[in-house]
Amino acid sequence: MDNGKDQPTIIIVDDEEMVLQSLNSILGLETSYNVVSHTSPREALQYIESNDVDLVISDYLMPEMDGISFLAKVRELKPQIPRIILTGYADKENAIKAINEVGLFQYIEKPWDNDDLLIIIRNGLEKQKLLKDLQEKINEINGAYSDLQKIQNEILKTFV
Amino acid sequence: MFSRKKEMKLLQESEEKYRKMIEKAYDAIFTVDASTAKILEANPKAEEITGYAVEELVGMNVWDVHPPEEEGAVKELFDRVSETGVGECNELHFLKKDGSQVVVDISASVVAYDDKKVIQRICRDVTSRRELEKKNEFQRRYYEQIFDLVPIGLGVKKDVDTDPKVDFENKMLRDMFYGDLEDTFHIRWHQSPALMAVPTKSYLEETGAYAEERSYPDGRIFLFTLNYFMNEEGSWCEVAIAQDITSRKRLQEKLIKANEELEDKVEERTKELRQKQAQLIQAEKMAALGNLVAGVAHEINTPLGAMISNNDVTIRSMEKLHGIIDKPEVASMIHEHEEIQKLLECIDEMSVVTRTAGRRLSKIVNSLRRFARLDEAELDTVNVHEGLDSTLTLVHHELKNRVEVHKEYGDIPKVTCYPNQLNQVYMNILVNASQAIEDKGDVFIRTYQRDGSIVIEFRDSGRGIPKENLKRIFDPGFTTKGTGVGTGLGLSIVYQIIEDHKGQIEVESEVGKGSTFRIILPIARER
Repeated sequence: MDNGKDQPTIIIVDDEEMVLQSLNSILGLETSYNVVSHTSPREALQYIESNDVDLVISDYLMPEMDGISFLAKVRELKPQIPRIILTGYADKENAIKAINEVGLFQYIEKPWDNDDLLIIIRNGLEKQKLLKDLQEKINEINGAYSDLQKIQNEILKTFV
Repeated sequence: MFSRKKEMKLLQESEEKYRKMIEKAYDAIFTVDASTAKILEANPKAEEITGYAVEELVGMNVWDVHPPEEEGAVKELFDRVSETGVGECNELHFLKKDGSQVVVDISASVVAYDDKKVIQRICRDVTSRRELEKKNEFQRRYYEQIFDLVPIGLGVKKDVDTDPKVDFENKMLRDMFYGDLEDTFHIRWHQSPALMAVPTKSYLEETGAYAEERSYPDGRIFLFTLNYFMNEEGSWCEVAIAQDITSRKRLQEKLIKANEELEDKVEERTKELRQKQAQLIQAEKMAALGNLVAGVAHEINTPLGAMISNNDVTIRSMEKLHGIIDKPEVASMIHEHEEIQKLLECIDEMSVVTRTAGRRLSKIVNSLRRFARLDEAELDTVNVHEGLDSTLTLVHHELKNRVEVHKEYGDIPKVTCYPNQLNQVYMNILVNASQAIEDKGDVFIRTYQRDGSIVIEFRDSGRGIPKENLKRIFDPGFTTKGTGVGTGLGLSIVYQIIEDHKGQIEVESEVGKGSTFRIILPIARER
């Protein structure tokens, strides 16, 4: 619970402080994720660029930058991070269009249900973890393969 | 002797006078032997008219100066005069010595003359007068022929205020009255002194004319006019004019009818336009509402989200807290502090209430959103019951504690429609129903299938609609709610929307019992 280093890091972005606080509370109560919240999408991007992040949740309508553009930038930076949008905006059609354009992991409407939210986050993290594991395995295989190659080369050298 | 002489003298004198008179006379005078019919004497005028000298005339038979074809007539006159003593005959002719003829009027009488019975014939030359008369007659005929060609009936009556006489009628006037068209106007025109009972001079001078229009069983329509003028002799003349105005009238009627039809059409078009306008206004209002709802939904959902989530966190925290408290070592401690127990209970209860409130708020925002159908402004195939339910949520405040809603939803297929427009229809009907219910009442919403259509029926226990208003409730601008309450557009929009959906709307209503609105929509074809 308190060994934060092993726990996934979640970024939440909303121009409304109260939403950030609410999300912080529920995640703090029910999970031991590292939760980093930002009211500014730009600052969040800077953070994501220079830190390990496992999942991003963003509001849709924000004065500085809308959620879709923000998440598009996140994708550019780190495409493997699952992206979730949390919106109070009623225009579902546009939101869905945006989801397809930016490739979102999920779409959550405000007011949200905490159980749903927790499950979605958990699924997102799982996906992220699987991808991460997969990458690690690939890296392992690649490493093993290059080790193998090295050994092969050495054997060849020895023989030749 | 003397006296006889004197007498003779006197006689001679008078004879002389008489002779002179005869000689100077304007008329031709013949003395004829009553037994032989021979001319005994003739005056100078007789010479002039006949062209014979007196010497030639004396001894001739009276008929010898006439053309041979008049011999019989002359003899007849002679016999008559001999018998009765007097007689006359006009329009006889003298055959003059030069062969020409003159027209003469003859009057004759028997006189005693020198103990002899003689006939004195006075003959007047009327040639020039006859010619003048003939000329006048020709002139009259000439004008009559002209007037006969005029296509209006024309008649003139003379001396209408003293001794009325028909002076002239043209062919048209005579032809207008035949068979069963024998007409009071014509009878009056002919028989009575004038058309009016007594057309007094002052009346005639004042009005100068009289007109009346009359229709006949054969369909013809006449316009009769009587005009009056005073002729040169100072007597009143009446000019009757009769016109067949049937075709003019028919044309006029056609024109009036066409005009009426045009007016009807204009009215109809105006109504249509008004309806379209109302719909446009409504569409604009709906668009504005849509934008508003979108904004409001967003504005509400954010704090609402925080609130609901926070409350949920509270509930979860309390659950965890209870988990700790329920541990025996803590429980015994808490039991000593009743205050803590009470406070915990209070928090628990309040969070449950807050959760209910939050859900309700969330439902309202959702209904609002669904009502405006921001996400589905296009044609779609939807479940009618969902639309009804979200509309009911929105009119909840209008109905609660007053109107009980009874839902009888049947098994009906989806309809292809503009969902937000149909929601608008339900809303208008439900609000009307609610306003029709004065105190407490019921609204029954029933859905079912009928003859390949789906029916959505709203029945209320309101005050009902009077018969005279029933026809007008769908007219744009018609309202009984008074200014400020209703716009008078609600049902006209309902009507238009249903028509756009190729549906129908039926209304039944009874004052004091309530109204039933039935929306009939065609079943959606599978797309």
